[in-house]
Amino acid sequence: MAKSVCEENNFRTIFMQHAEGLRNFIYYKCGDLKQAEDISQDAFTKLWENCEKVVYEKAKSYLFTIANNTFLNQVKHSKVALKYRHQNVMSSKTHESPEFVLEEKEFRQKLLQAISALPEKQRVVFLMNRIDKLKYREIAEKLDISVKAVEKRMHNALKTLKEISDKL
Amino acid sequence: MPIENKDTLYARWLSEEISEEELAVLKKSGELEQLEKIAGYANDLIMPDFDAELSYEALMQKTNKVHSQPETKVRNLDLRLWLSVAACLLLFFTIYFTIFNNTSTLIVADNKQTKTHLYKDFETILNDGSSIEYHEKNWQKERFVSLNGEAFFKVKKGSPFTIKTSNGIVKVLGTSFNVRSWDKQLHVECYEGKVEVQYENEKQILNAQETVLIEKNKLKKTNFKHERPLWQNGSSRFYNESVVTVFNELERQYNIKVEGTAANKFFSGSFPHNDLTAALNNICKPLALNFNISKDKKTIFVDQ
Repeated sequence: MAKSVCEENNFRTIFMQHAEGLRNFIYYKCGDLKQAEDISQDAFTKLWENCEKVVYEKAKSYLFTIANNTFLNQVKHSKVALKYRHQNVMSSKTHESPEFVLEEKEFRQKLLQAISALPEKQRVVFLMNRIDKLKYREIAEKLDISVKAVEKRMHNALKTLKEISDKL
Repeated sequence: MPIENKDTLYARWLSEEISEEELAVLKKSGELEQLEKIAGYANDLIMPDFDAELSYEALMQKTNKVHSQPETKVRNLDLRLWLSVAACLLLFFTIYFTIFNNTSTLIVADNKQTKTHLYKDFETILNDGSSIEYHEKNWQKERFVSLNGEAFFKVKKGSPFTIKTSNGIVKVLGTSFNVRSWDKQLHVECYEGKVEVQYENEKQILNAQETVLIEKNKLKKTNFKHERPLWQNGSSRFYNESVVTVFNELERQYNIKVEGTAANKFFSGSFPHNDLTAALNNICKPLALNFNISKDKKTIFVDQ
């Protein structure tokens, strides 16, 4: 017999697997962490309410669709403000000159700005890959698009970011 | 060599799915170095920490569907308690009403004026905006109906039939009659049998084709000729009644508002219920009143 989403253990498993990814997904779109968390929670609430209608295997794409729809309805876009893990990781490995460190810092700043300025679809794919470490196939599943479409978005994102680094 | 699927090249480079030749092209053009730098730095990006356990607890509290065992038990117990309370109340009221037979029923006019409502041993037709309420308590001993507005009654012979209005009481034996009681006005027409009308300390007995209304705080009796109340045929008739009463009736029939004063005038005659201009002509011409109908046809302005 198929797994039921209404079974709390199963629901919990789904939550543990997808809650963070879902929150991040919305955050990459809107750049508002509070809003991303709210939308993510609402999506899970809806899944729980409609647990009888959603097949276990489809729960993931259900969550991402619901969250995306809610996001589209709320339409509150702010800039995505991301942070780097450790400001010094890259430079501590190498013993470069102060000029290089400064240059590097500037590059990080520009890169963040460029990511924020990316078209939403490209940004979402790029960050899901870089931050959530998702494979293209996994991203495609969550967004309910083809792997080829994910690859195109990724390619375009890298292309745009490269153009910006060209200017430096 | 031309590169196929160029629109996904960088993506495939990043996921290490490109051919040797493609990689060589990237390396040669210097793109590779830039891409490595971007991908490398972006790899270092982080999101704020996510506490899945805490978030899950919050979610479950929000959905109010926490499935922990003890709470479920408590909830079941609660439900059972409430069900028993509800059952007790239901039983209590059932017994109460069976013994005391004290229900009352409210009937409100349905705007058609032609529908006859049949209850027990009387029938009634309600005029617009009117309602009656009848009380089943001691129905066999005394039939008792409260009236708000205007209604025609036909009552079977038997125990006294009493209609209580805010202006007075109408008592009958088997008969048919019309009672109009709006605002401060009471108007009773008797069509068959005998009707007793009580207003303050005054009583009047009406025979068939006799009518009574309140004039200067006294009951005034006159005769009439029609067989049924005119409002049932789609018009309203008045006998030397204040124009205020007439306009009130007009407002109810046409769902409009009449503004202006002519309170000192008295009107005898009738107006139809399906033609506002004709109705206004019927009322205003004999009284030498002018009227104007507003554009939305909701308000009538009247002046002398």
